[in-house]
Amino acid sequence: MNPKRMEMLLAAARTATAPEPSPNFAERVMHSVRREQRSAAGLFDQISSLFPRLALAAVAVLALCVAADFYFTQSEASLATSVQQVTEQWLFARN
Amino acid sequence: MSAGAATLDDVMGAVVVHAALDSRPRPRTIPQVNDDAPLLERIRQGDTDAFAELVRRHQTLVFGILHRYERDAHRVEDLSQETFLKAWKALEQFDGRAPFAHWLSRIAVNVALDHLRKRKRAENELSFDDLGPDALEWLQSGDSQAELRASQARELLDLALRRLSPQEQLVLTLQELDGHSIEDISRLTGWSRVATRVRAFRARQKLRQALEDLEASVDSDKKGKMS
Repeated sequence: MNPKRMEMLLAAARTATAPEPSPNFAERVMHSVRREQRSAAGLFDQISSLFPRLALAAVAVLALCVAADFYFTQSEASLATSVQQVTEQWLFARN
Repeated sequence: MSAGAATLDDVMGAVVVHAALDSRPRPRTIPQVNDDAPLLERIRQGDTDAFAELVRRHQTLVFGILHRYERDAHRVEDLSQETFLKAWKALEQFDGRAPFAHWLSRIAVNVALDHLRKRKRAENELSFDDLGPDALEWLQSGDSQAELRASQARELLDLALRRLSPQEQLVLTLQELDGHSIEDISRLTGWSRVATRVRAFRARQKLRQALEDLEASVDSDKKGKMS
């Protein structure tokens, strides 16, 4: 394409006019802005409302773990004792 | 009327051509004064409705930027809406040193670039079938005096530009259709001046090549139909 024709093409394309915004365009934008606000606020509210329960659940799990550890260390022999017992009775047992 | 005499249509055609060639790209007028400050202050204080007024003030600017990248008016409106929504989300980052319109223009250009990237990924190649008969006729004629309307020019450019990368399409549109300087484009896109200059140069070369390829393929298509 020769430069003159290309320039003509560009010049004609420059004259294209933009479409007019629809009369309620600003309202459409505001609708999506408010929806955005609601979804952001909704997530925050959900976290806020769930947080006390989540905290309670976390504390309960922690307490359970501590209690279980305490119970097992008290009622059963320690690992060192068990290993020593196995060593003496099985591995190095005198025949 | 004798064969050599110019008809009224010829004269009008020449006038149209001259008018088209004289329409050098003029940069889009972006307001230089930051008179949006009171509105922005109201928005910061929680008055969401003040943003609607800001949208009304700048909607023509945003539509004017985005219609260069999309011919479908509904899609232009969607892209404009996306631009304002992004502006709303990022409003805290606007420091007010430059006019709000400049900042908004940068967001619109980024939305345009994203749109071009998505379109490129979609790989929906245009073909001659997407051209209207008038645009096809202009391409076939090879006549430098033939009249070309804006809509036909957009069809042809769209077809040729699809062969360029999204960045090249953007820089070419900003420079050749919107009439922005390299410095303006650099500011709008965030690219360095050197990178912008190089991209603009390559883009123009590629566009010329793409248009030549189109002319060649339409010629061979025409010959194929005749034989």
